[in-house]
Amino acid sequence: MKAVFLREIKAYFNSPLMYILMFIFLVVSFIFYLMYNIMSQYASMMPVMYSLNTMFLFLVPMLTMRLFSEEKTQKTDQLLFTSPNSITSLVMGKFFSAFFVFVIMMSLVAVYALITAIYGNLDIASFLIMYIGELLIGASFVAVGLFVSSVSTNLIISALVSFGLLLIFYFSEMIPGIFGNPEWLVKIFSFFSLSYRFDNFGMGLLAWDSIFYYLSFAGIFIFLTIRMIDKKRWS
Amino acid sequence: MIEISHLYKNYGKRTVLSDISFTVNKGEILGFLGPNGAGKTTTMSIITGYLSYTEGSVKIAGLEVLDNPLEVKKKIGYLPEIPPVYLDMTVLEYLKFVYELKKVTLDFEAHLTDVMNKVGIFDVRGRLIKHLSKGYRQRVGFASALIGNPEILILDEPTVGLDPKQIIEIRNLIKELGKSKTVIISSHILQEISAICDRVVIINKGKIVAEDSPENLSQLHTTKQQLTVRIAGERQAIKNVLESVQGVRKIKEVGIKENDSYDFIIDVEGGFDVRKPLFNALSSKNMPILMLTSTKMSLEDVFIELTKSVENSKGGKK
Repeated sequence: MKAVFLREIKAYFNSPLMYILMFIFLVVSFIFYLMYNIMSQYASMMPVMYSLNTMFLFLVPMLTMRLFSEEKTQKTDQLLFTSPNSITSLVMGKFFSAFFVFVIMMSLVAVYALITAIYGNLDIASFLIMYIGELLIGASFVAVGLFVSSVSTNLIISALVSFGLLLIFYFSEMIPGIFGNPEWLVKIFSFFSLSYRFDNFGMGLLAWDSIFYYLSFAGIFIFLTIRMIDKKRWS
Repeated sequence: MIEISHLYKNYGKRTVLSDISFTVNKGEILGFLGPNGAGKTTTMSIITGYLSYTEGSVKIAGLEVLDNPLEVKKKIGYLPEIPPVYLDMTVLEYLKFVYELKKVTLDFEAHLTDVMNKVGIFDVRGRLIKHLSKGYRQRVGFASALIGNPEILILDEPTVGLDPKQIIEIRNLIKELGKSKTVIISSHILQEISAICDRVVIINKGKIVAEDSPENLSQLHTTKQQLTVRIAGERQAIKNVLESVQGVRKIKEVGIKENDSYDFIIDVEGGFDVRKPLFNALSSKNMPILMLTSTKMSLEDVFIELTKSVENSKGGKK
């Protein structure tokens, strides 16, 4: 796991793509921070966090698209899967490498919060809770991207499909609107919605059911990735 | 060391391997021969644990591959058809990654230097793999298979893309390694197989069609013997004499290569040595033999013969 993790991190920092994504994140997140907090003299990080979620919907797929797709096109997966490592540990190495890059991006938000805390009146407890929520939602996004990259060999398709899937999962509470919002349907779709679950954190609540939901969401997609790779050996 | 018995592999309804059985003993170099798409790579992928199989058993040092994947993988160094190198790494970075990935406990510096010297990439160790030529990438791939000093080497067409000098170097290296390791090497270059291997398995359309030493294989199939002769005289008269000799099955003219003489290729029936009667018959008619050579079937001919006959029998069924 460690070898794969370190190689992936190195690969991220060797590729121009990550610097471009980092730059986009830096500029856009700063604009959000400028608008929501500095210009409007507002001390809560909540609006920034929500906006960042939507941005991660397309940033994370671009981070995760190459994880397994590239291995397959370059045939390097033959090295990984004939090495004395379990598929699980290889997949986890890949997962944590992409998640690590996500955490680097998120550390910038901590800097914004620090600035707010120094010059304003930041509710640190509720910010930390939101931050935990953001990390959990990031883990879920990365897991979905990881899974899609294990299915597709094409980078662009991998990125687009994960973006589509994330869009559906993130905004799923809006889907029942098509059918005129029957209450039972709203309940079902809200249960699966990644953004609806985030509301608890947004309100400063450390909701255990949401934490459990995100962890199991990420866990299921990691499990599916492992199954998908294993299945390809059989068919 | 490697025992494969009654191995089957299906992709959906398509059978790619059927009833493959062979064993490789410790310290043996086995050549795996077959036309493209015969199932060589599939078989090798199965031995290395990259692919699973539908039926049968594959045992490495007594351990079933599917049940003990990690122990088995530790014993095997695998060089796939396309070397599994990361283009964005330098040679040294890559080999270090492989060293860690394989959880090798040998001394890092000494082992890596040793491996790099063996395949001749020590001088390019600091260069990015994407800037290396095909031949060098192939050697880097070879180096990654050697890392961890595995007991078994599985090499899928290891000399493809190398220049003639490198091919000889790699062949010698494989021979050298074969003294202490068990090696399976696939190729469609027959000359290579007969130069390196102790034993050959020929496979076609997912089935084993022959298994023996290279020498035995070419001897076994010399039932169809051929003679090339050059005889001075008149064309039709020579032909008449040749046809009268017992044991001659077919005569093919190959034209005039020397003045006042004709060349023929004679197919001889199995079990006959026609050289003496041929000489006597021709000399009695005053037609001197200028040249007489017997063509033994090379491994190449055997290969073509074997893979062709399966095709014919398959066609017959339809």
